[in-house]
Amino acid sequence: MTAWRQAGLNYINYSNIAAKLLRQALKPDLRADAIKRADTHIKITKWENGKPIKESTY
Amino acid sequence: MAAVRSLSKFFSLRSFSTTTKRAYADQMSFTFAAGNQVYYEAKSVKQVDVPSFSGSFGILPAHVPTLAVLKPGVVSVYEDSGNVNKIFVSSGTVTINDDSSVQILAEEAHPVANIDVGTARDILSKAQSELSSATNDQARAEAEIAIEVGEALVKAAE
Amino acid sequence: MFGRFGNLAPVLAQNGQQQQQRGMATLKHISMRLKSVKNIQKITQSMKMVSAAKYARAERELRAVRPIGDGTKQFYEKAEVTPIADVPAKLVIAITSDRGLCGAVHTSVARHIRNELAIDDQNTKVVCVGDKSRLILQRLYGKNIIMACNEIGRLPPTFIDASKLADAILKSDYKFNSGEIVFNRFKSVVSYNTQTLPVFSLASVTAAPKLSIYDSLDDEVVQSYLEFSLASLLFYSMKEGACSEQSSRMTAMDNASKNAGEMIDKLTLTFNRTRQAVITRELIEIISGASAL
Repeated sequence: MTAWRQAGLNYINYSNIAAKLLRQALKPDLRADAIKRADTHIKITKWENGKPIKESTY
Repeated sequence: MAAVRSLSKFFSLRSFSTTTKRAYADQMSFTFAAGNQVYYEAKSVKQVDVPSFSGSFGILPAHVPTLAVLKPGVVSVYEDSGNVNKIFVSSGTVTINDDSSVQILAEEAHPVANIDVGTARDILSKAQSELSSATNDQARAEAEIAIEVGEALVKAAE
Repeated sequence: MFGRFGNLAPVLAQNGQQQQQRGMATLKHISMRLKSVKNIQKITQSMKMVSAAKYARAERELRAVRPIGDGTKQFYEKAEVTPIADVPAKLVIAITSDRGLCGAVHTSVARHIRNELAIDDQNTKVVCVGDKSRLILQRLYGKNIIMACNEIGRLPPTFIDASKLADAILKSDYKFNSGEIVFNRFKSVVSYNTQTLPVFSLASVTAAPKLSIYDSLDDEVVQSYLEFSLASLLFYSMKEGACSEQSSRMTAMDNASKNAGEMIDKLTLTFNRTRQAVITRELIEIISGASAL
């Protein structure tokens, strides 16, 4: 088992970190555009018994 | 409405080609798509070298079917024309099916030439300092991943 | 005699005034209606322009994402993965957005899920992506929702959005055996298909009959592979959904503008006719008044 999985991460987390760093390592003229494209706004809320659980946003 | 109709005609003429062409057994049908760009779509190539968690390996036509998970590093594509295309991938999957179709799906992929060596070194040294200041398992694991990526970036860009 | 006239005169005057007032009022009403319909048309027209631009972008991006979706699907098909029969736990992911005014894209996704829940709502849980699907489903099947996402649809979805969602699904307490993503697959500017993509658990993949033809697999690789696949599938279906939504909004707004145009034509006609009638009546009053002298 890899160290990151033992620490509670999954391959998606691994992939996100790697992709973020790759974008940062691009040549300056390409970097800004790549980072802009990788913005995120999604809000995820857990639900239980037909109601949202307030402090559960991921 | 007329405009919409002419638009639709325009698009249907250009027709999405989504079906991967079935390749002959001695020919590879190679697809390489990343979240930011599609590099190859059902193209025939000579050989592909990929970095994976089970070690780097080369894929030739009629490779035994397998699955692999990508590690940050350079994918080298040996095109039929003799060109070698080097592309850095962050992470993703490799699928080799029994009909000799190969898919590489990456989250982010850029030609090696687009990587800035100086920034890559900065990323590596920043990751190293993050590892020494990490206080819990998760932060340590994240810093270790960052070092792995940083090393791969520096190695590829140099 | 005089008294009778005195009595009659105000009544007549009142009558005339009332009629005239009614005529003026309708005229004013019509012109107000006309103005508001014209404003609505302006709005729908500009919304159409905006969604046309957004659609063009979504379509371009979708073309770049299709290989990812198709590539991910192929493995499931070729390895002939099927859900394990004796574990019924199922997950349904609805891909919609926060925004309306785009025809039936969201309702058709929600309807698909509602039909499924009508058959079995005990072992099926739902993840709603976008406020629209949640609003439709929460009234009847609120208890089946385990997760809801919003802030979707204003901007094009990104891989990070999809991986956040995939991560949340994988880390949720719900252990599903099989699942499906319900989304609208974009066909052309005027049509889309509501389709499903399968999602499988690690257990059902390792039990797949044709997995043995794949060489040198360990559980860790398969697990990572599936995690990434889920993110890719979600990313792909979100892109399909966004493209269908924008194209559908474009058509909806185009129709709305056309309908508003028809209404404007009719109202203008009525307006002119009424105006003519008012003028004619005023003339008659003046002339008959003059001839009475």
